[in-house]
Amino acid sequence: MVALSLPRYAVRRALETLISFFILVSIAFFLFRVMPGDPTAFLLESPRIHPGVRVLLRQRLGLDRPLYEQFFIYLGNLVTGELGYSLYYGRPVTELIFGRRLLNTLALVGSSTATAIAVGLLLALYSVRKYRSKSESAVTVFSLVTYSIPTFWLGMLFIMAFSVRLGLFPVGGTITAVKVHKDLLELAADYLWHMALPFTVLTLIQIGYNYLIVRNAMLSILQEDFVMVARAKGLPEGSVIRRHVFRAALPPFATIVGLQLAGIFTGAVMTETVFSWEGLGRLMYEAVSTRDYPLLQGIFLVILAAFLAANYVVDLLYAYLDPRVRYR
Amino acid sequence: MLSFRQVLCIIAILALALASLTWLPGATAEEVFIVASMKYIKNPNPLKEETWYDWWLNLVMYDRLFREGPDLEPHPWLCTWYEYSPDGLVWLFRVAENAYWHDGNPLTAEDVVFTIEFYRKYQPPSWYPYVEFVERAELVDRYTFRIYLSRFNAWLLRTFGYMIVLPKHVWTYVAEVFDDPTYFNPLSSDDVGKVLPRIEAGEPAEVASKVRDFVNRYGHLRIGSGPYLLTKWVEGELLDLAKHPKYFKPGFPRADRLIFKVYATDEAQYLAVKKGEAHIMMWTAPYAVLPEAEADPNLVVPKSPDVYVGFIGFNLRDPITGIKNFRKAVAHALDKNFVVKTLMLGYAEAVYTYVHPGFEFWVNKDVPRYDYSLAEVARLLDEAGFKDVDGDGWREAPDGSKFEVTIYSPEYDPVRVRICDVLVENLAKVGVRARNVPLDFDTMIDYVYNQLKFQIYIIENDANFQPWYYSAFYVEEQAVPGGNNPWGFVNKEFEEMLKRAEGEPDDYRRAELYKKLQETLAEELPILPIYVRYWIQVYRKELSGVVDMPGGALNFWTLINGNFRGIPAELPYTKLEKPITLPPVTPIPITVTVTAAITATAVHTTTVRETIREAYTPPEVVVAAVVAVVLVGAAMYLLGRRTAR
Repeated sequence: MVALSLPRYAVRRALETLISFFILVSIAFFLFRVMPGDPTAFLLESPRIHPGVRVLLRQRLGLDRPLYEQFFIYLGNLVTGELGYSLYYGRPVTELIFGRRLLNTLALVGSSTATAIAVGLLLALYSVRKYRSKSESAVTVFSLVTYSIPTFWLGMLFIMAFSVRLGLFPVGGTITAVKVHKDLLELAADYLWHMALPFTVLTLIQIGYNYLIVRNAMLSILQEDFVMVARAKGLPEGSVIRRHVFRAALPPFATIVGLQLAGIFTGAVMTETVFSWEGLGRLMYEAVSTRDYPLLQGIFLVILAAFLAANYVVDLLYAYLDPRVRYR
Repeated sequence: MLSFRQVLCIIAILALALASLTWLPGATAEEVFIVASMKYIKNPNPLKEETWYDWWLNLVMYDRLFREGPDLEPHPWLCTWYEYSPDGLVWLFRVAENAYWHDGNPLTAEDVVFTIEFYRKYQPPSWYPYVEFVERAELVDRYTFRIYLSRFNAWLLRTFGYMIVLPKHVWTYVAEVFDDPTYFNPLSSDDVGKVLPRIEAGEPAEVASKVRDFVNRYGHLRIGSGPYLLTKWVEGELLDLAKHPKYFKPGFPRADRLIFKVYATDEAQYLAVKKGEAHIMMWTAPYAVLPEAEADPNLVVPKSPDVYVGFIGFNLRDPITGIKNFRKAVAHALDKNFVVKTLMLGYAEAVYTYVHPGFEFWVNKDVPRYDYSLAEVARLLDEAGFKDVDGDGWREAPDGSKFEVTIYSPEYDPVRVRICDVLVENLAKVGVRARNVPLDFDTMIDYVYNQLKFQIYIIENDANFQPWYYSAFYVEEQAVPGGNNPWGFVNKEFEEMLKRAEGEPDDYRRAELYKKLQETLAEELPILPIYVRYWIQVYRKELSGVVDMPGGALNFWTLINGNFRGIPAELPYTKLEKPITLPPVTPIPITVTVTAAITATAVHTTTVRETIREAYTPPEVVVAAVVAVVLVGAAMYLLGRRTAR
């Protein structure tokens, strides 16, 4: 068996990633279209829209063209970086994805995911150290509860309590409607104020997951011989956990973190809906429900790119940490 | 490493810091009217009025020759007088002389003529149907124009009259830049940057400078002439509009600013209104919150009939549902009173006719009602040859084969799913095997409208209950995949009568013809009307000037009347300047409701209301119950761990 050098390994993985990307994009193209549905169905839900509009729109959108023709047009556009026009919004897909919605999602889901990872990790370290204590039990129960609570329910509860009853936070949105922001600082403060509730809910929901994964991984490592050796050497418990147990649990944790960070681009449909936080999650939901193929493909492309990139980086990280994976 | 306590402290500090940012919208000198909208505008381009949300924005930003009043009749708006030739093929219109575009340029008949020709040339799907019967349009003088029709259309004022008028000094140049003007985004700086230089090069200096000033101030080219102009838009979040300073109706709109703020669910909309973040809901309030809303002294809960009609559609091409007696049997098997009183908690009315009950003048109240009767169902089925030949308890088809009827319902609406469940249960009682298949909306539409693969389905729609749109539905040319007649209703006599009706200028004679058409529909039963829901747009008590009408308390009249100074609603229709020279349009006796008061409450029976109140569980009780369950669960978990040790 021959070990590839890290740069050669990186190039090989990059090529594999590109091939996977095109295969998945092609599969997605056909998958979206075999899904039963009608991109002009939304017109039937729109009171006051002239009944002739739907019939005319179907002709104009070219939905009657053969599938292979649509596919080659799509591939051609993709190579030139053109993602097409949204059938529902009637605007360029890039404009819809890479605009305010992406920023909103990155701000909310990104910050809450990062916080949840950090807090989950800290709580896991704490609870492994305090294993079988009352506080560890309390943390575990807390994590199980937050992990199990449906997001929409917790969200509505927060709105009822902190927004409607106490009046501390807004019901939804990202900025105050009537307010004219004098400067960027005021806008940022308003934005953060609106983000407080969805951020808290999303963080709470995710803490449990991270906590439970890391805690269980570390607890199983605690049983390993090398931990016993470390203890036998007389190392303090904190040092055993930080320097030996945690380090051993790091590679699988890195995978989870990588995927979670890539998952940021998928948004958080429930939280975004409950808090009227206009992000990619809601955009994706609407694209699915209206069979907006170009928009769906565009969002899928972004998510796919994020996951493949995360996967690629994690692979390289693994190859760096553990040279065995470079053998072929 | 941080201790557990330190982590808790940090979390608490962060929470306090965020809470300290709290402020509530303070009182401002200007009147800001906030509508809690369910979704953001989909198409910034006014040519693409394809969703309800696009419709709302066009409603307040663009004017029309006529506006639909609370009586659902067309009333003169930009139009100051009109007349037509004896054969009805030439119409002359005059427009108001004091109307201006948002950029300050005057609106003239030239703009209207341009708009008609523009729609005819580029055929935008949203507006072409409004002018397709116009052969040509010509300018008579600065404020008068004439149109020539290819055929007489008695409903002209309800179709052509409602089309939005575009500013010629903008759209002439949009068409120069974009081969298909529907791709122009007037809110995009790139697109504005392409069109503005053309305007400056092609228009007189005084016109172009006003456009330039407008763009410099607001950053867009969505210039209309309606009561509000767009000042700010935040993608997916809100639309901020200001009062049109030169609006041709003095004193209107009452509010200084109008904001459409997105709250993604009906619950969130309701909570925003309850809290005071918004003043009125755009969507109907969920049934579950209505008892609480009615008890809230700060809220008004109007119950206006929806413009939608819930109905069942049959596939007339199918060997089972194509049999008229079978369709009649299904109609008798559905108890509409049970549907509206029990399934819809009394927040709906049963419907028996083929015209929305709001258009009272056109409704035929004598069509067969198909009252609930399982005995009649059995009789009709027997008569059609649906008999249980093999004695297994289920009827066979007239040809002796076994059959099962499939009913599609939209899975997102529990009411409609339940209606179909009830129908299935009732049909089973008379030996008809049926099954309800809930589908997502788009899938159902695909099966029904595109593939025509269905037997029975349930949907809500309004257009096919407006007589002026009958020819877009109940005709053979629409009975094709993708058309508006998925039922396959083809009836030559009906189409002949429909043509006569559309060409009949006298309202009374035309109404008689439409009543006969309704009789045919009731007899042939391509669709079965079931109910009209109440559209309950909860609003705050401090909001004055609300006009309640079919379709809801939120409408054009409320949007221009809404204020916080207690000024009651007015309907500032344009008075025609001189009498119409040819046969006058006969006044239609329809009751007008112009009040913020609840008028439909009496429809609900006390029993239903009390039942709802009894069934209502305060949220605190639900929360307490869940917390209790969690605590008990936690205690059991801890106990289990201790035992395990």
